[in-house]
Amino acid sequence: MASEMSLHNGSERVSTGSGVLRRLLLGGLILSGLTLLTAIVAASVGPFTVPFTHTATTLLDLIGIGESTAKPTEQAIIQSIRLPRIFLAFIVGAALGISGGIMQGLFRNSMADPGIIGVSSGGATGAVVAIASGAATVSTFFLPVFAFIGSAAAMAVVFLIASVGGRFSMATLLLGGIAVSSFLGAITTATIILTDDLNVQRQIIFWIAGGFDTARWESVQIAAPIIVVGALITIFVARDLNLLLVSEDEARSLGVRVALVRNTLLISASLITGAAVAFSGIIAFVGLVVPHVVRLIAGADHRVLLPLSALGGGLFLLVADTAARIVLSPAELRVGVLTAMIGAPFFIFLLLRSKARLL
Amino acid sequence: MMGVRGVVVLMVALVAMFVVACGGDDEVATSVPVEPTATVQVAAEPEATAVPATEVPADVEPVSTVAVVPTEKPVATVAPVATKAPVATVEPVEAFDESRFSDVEGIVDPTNFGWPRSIETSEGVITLDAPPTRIHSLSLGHSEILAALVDFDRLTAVYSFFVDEEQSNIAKLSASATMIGFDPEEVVALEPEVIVASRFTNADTVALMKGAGIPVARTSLENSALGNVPNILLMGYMIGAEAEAIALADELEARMQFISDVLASDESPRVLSVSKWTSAFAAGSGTTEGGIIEQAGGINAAADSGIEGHQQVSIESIAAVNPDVIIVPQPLDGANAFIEELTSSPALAQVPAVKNGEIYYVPPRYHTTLSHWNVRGIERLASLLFPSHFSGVTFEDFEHWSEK
Repeated sequence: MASEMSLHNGSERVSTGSGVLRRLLLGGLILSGLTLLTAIVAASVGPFTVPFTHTATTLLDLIGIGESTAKPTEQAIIQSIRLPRIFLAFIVGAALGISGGIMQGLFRNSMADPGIIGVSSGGATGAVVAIASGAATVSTFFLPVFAFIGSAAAMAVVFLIASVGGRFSMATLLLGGIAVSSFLGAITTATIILTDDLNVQRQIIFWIAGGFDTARWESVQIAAPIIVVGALITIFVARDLNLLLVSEDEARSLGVRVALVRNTLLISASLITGAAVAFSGIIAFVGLVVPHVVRLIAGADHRVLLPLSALGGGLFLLVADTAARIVLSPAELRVGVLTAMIGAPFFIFLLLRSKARLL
Repeated sequence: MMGVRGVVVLMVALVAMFVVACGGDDEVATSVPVEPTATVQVAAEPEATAVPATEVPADVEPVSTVAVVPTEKPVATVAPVATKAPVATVEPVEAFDESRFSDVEGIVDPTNFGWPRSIETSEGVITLDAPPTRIHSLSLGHSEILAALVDFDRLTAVYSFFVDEEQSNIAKLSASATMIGFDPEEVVALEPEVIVASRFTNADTVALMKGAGIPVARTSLENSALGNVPNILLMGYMIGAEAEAIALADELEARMQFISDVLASDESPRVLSVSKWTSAFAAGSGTTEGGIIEQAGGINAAADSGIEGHQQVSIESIAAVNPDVIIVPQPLDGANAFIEELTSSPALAQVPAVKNGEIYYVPPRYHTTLSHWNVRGIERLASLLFPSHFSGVTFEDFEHWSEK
């Protein structure tokens, strides 16, 4: 399980409390500011032309300042189409960013991503079941519910595999995740190939490709609490994760309840990933790329890394989704394709850099 | 880790495959049954003007005031105002006008109507010693054309999606035919004398068939109804059904001329063809649906807005395109839900199509295949767009061609 690539752990940079706070505040302010700016831009642009003043007054109106000058159609587009999409893209990106940071830390592997223990594949299989069974046509919420259940079930199975014999093994968890992912991926692929219904094929393929074009306020209302609570829990135990990365024995000697912390992080990360996947499909590379960038800039202390990965992930996906909306306007590009196009070259860069170090 | 990424990469590849398939149309590619573009069925009533087609039973033909019986010869010129759409006779014709084949690309010797005869397609020259009695088609569009030209039992087998009444115009015929999967071995085992492939057929599949010693003719299927006339004539020549091919081509041309004459002086409404498969996709330039819109006298609003091929769109995109009419060529269940979503969206409230109730479900089997059946989509859409012009006019399906 040893990573080919070095991963700075929390002990390499011994940070004082004030140092951590300073980096956290500075990074948080910058990323929050950029996110706010991007959100305003995202609310202002799209295939339907809305004058910026109309967008601005509508946004201000929403927070109780002044009155919107936008026409009803413009208000509807901003409030019921663009804003829920902006919020959903941000929270999904935040979920993937923070999950990626946790998984990379726990597995001491910079190649780890949020779906490493089968959560994404489980979500895809759940979605496939919802679509192929027709449940997805009964209610628009059955698909995300099935996807979330799939994610949670996959996580549970992998945990069981890793706990067989009464001893929890991270190596078995990783390998079990790979095996379960492959198995579930095969089910998904087999369903696509074997189904006689081309409509089912299309729905599965497009759902898996990831996107926010169907985002609604209801989606945000369901996904946000799960992701926010999960993220807060992981940030709360971030200090213990730092100690855990030094060594489990040392962490134990410092009073860390190793199993509890590790399982809390794994379950929280998996569930928030599941919630993200359920409402967005599989969006590649956000959870892989963002923690790396944050680590390069702000260091490897998880007290800083995790919150900033959340903000960075949200910002990255918001930018990507905005670009996906306007680059081919009035047509759209699937955001999953766009993040993969950005993320894949970065992934190759990591591989090459890793190889160069070994030579 | 690789498993997860492998799944993602595989899915992206599948999406790419599907997008390619969407750009074309019906097709049996490699081992995945990728159909042309859409998938649906049922039709809007020609008489309907503002009623969502969801209220129209799938099997109900347009209400007619004039019975049309397929007993007429194709009519070369049709008066602008008519009460009966031109329909050809299906009676076998002994003699035929050989000159119709003189300009058909692919016929090696246009003066040779005996056997053996040769045709040349992108897969090279093939020579047939006698009219083939065992023909295998790898695409739905070709199968629909072949079904109009020869007895259906001369086709060796069908694929599962051929029996889907929402997508296929030969569903009933296919129901009792031999059905095979997508393993090339199954095709070889049928011992066909000739295989017909389209431009969308996977190259490896074609290579395997040719490697097994089976002649393969790969002919193109076009997005425009008239564009398929040379293809119909070439296939008719290849299988020895020249008279039937001429009659079908004549009927197709006459019906298109009829539409053209009736619509000669009208302003064109902007029509958006959009379907929803988890996400919504609009049919832009170069698509079958777009071709049907234009041939029915409309302007393809998606193409007019710069969309090429089939592209994902959002509700906001539809508002930006601002169509006068929206047609939804997808299966009825999905179409109903999508139409409901469109009509209830506040963002679309001022879009003319929504405001005036001009959103229609249209039968996907007419809009997403690539064969003479596209003419039915054109006729029905023209009737929807210009109801006053087609009042009292009814159109025949092409069933009479395949009920021989």
